[in-house]
Amino acid sequence: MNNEKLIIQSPEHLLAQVYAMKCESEDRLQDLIDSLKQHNNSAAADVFSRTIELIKVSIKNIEQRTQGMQLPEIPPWEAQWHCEVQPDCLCIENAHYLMTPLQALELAIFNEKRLQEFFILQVNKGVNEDVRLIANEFLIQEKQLTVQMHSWKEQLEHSQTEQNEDFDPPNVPE
Amino acid sequence: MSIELKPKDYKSDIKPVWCPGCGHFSILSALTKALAYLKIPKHQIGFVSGIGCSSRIPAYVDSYGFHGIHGRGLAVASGLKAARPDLHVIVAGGDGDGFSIGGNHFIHACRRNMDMLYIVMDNQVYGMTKGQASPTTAPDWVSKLTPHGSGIRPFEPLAIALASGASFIARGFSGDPSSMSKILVEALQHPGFSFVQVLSPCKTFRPEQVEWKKQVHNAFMEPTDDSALAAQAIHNDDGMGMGIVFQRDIPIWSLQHSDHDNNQTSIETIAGEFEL
Repeated sequence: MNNEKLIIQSPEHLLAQVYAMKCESEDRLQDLIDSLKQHNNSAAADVFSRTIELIKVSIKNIEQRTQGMQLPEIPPWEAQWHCEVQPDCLCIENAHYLMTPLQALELAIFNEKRLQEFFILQVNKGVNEDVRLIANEFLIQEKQLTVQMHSWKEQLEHSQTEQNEDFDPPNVPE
Repeated sequence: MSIELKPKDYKSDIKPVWCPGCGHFSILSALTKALAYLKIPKHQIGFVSGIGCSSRIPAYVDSYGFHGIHGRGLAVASGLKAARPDLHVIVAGGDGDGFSIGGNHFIHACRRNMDMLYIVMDNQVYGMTKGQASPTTAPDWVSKLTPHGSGIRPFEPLAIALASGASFIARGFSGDPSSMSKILVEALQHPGFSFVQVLSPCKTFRPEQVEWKKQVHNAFMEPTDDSALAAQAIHNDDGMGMGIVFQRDIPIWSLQHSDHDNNQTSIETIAGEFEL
């Protein structure tokens, strides 16, 4: 999709899309947390449990902000993302049952950066002034979250984490 | 008063046990989006499966569901649709379930053209039983169990569906859930047997499939109703083309086409015909 098609034209569309995105992220992240726990990797699950709390706060904020507003219904295939999967939704194929907490956090930061790219595009290229202002607000919030995540990352880097090992590994080529 | 359901509302409380990174999560997400978009009431969905990782999916959807036996999802679903034509019948399974032990049911379900959706979550491996080659596995895929590859040419689902008479044939990719949900919406709306092959990487047993994201491409831009053109498109396909390749309105089989009117005939009447 070219940049022109990615530009959101109204504040209602932006809010509807960001709300749908955050709800989807919460849902998909919860699936991943549950799956990691099922696979006895609660250390990585704990990292995502911390990030999902941040998403829940964002959802509440958007709900408060849009109270009384009539938001448009946007079919998933008409969402204006710059990638196939919505920007902050985990690149699911990068998760793994043996992933370490540090790898989990790096994945969360990667997705956070992709989300910021989405807002940066709206701020820099947007044609509607209200859209640009709201996108900038979201961008500031997301940048604050990234700072928080980086501080968690520093803590993790200082703590000793070993690579997880499967003593009954899958049947894959050696 | 009808309550508007969100995609999340179509998920059950049962937690998926799929591996972290499994493509099947995205298929579940795309399907719930499609159901929410079409506003299909949960009590009007009958979800049937066979056996395998993918066949667990009915448990994760908050609808009527039946986790059947290996390869027999389509057979069970055919019976369900015959008895309850008012339901939206969805069948899901994997490549092993659908094309190996269930291969014969697949052919005849295509031929019968009952109004249902069949999703095959294809990861080209038997994941649940720890990574054996499946009908869609490439002949040169080397694993501990097939150290020299299987040496067998893979099953071609789209070609077989077309040759067998399926009236809707498409391929999606779990890494692109938005496009996939559009395909599923079209498939659910299509009157007749809709077959959707979804390439769904198995992160644990086929880690190399992470590269599929770079290999898939939009191939079937506009569905054709001409089977010769569809055959040509499938012949030219590299196995990674996405989209709806074939769609044609052809007569749907239901019990009304048999001697019995399903609204009038009781089970007792039918059973009575078989009494000696």
